[in-house]
Amino acid sequence: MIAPAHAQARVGGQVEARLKTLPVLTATLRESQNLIGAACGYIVVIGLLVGLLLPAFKTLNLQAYMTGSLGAMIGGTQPSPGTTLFAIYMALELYGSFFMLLFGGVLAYAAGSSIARNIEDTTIDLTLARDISRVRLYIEKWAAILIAATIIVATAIATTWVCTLIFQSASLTWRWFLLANVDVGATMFVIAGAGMLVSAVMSSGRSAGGIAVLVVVFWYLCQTFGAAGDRLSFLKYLGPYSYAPSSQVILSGQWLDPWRLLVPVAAGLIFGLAGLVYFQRRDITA
Amino acid sequence: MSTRQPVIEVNHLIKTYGGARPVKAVRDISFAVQLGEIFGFLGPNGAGKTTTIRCMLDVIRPTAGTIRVLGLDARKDGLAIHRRIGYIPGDVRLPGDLTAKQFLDRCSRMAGLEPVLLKRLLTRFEVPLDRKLKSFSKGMRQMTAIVQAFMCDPELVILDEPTSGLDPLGQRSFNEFLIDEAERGLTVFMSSHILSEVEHTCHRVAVIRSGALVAVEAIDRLRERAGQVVIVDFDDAVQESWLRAVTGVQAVEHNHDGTFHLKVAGSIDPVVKELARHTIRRLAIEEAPLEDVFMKFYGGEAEQ
Repeated sequence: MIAPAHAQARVGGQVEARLKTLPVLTATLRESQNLIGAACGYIVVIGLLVGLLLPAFKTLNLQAYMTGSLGAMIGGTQPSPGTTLFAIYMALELYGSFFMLLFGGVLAYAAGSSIARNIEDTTIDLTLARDISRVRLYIEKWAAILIAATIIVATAIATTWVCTLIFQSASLTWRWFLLANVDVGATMFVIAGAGMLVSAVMSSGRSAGGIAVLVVVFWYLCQTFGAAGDRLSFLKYLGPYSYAPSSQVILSGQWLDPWRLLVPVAAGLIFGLAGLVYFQRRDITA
Repeated sequence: MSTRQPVIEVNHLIKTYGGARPVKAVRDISFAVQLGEIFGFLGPNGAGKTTTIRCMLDVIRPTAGTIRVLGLDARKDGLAIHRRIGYIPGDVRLPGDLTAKQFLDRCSRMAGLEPVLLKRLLTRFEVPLDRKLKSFSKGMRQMTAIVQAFMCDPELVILDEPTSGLDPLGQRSFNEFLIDEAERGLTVFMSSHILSEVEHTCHRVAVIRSGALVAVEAIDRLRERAGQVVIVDFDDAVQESWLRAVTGVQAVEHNHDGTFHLKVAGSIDPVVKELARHTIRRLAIEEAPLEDVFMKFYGGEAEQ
């Protein structure tokens, strides 16, 4: 068989162009929707339960609990006199270092598996064989994870707002509550960056997600043991929570040293950009 | 790109995977694919076919050597190349939570191009657009991958075992489609295990074994190389040793029905003249299967 001698080169650019509309970002959000949905569902349930059980909580000796080592570890500080019971419980249940562990863990898994899963199932080949550069793919994935983080934080804010509307005794000082969410945002930013770095390096979705979660668990343990005693207090500074102590803002009614937020934000950027550089250079092999 | 310039030009490509025990996946291969050509890339499993293809797409980076696709450097101008090509991966995995329609739309968005050939492709390849991809059989997934590769009217398609999972009807339909598209100026680079497919579709083939090219030849030349098979039934007694001594006869097989199968290389004329010394009851001459040639290459008996 002989190649057709009359074959004419097809001229590129004849096909009508169309808008790309962030295909990787939307695909990543779609891939992690179950995980993020579950986290948001959990937030809604916890928030509503706190509001619902608030009358029963009034009978508990909360002050004793908060001055105990466990309460201090979770909340990071004792509540100031003006803090409402609802604010205290929200700080403990949603905004303590648990938030970082639970919802940060979810975000870490989503970020960690975001690229590695596509490498593992080889669907990344189809993406990179199209008009999508590695840089664009990475940035869109990162943006998707940050949107997921925003969704989680927004759900917590919305749930709290709904609680204040539904339950009579559910009240808090919005100023401190919203500033606490800025802290949470900074923590989620560094988690997203770390997760992206892990995902850029690895080629197996579950392993990468698992390792990213382990990083968050390590940070949580550093915070917990660092808060437990003076001799181990240096451990606190290894994780992001001590730089962005969200529950402390709600409990103490003050936002101490906001410049410290730059630490997790800068770390998140460094992790994320390191992942980008590595991903740009690596061989993509499952 | 001028029409005389090769559409794909691979020069001294070497790919070694790192690690404690480096693996040389591709060892200094060079070949070129011309415009409008259907170029087959053959080799056994692990020969380096997919590695070569993924280097062309800049998914993995060569250890040494250069690749030019559509006149552009595969490493530096990857995006400009990707806008003009279609690709089917070897192991087609599709996002199961999407319908075929959503998936094809996503592919078109990622390409930034309208799927101008989509309707025409769907008349040829049956893809149930509204069904989720997770419910698709392997053959249906392959059809979907074929559609996504061709729908934006590419200038070049790079296909890694494109008919894997298709039934014989689907394979035939796809091969006919490829030939039609090559007539329209499409250049096709395809790896395959299916020798009959390559034989009937490709203009030229490269055979790769253990990372090294063992042959790059036109199919017609390979056919010549394969030679012919003469099936002869004599009325009188003929010794097998006498047949082996006939000029041009490479191998003789004596079948249980009394016929001899002679494998002949080169001209058939001296063989027929020699056989005519005996009384022949039946004589048939057939082309030898190309499979034999490929098996030689695969087995390493070919001239390097």
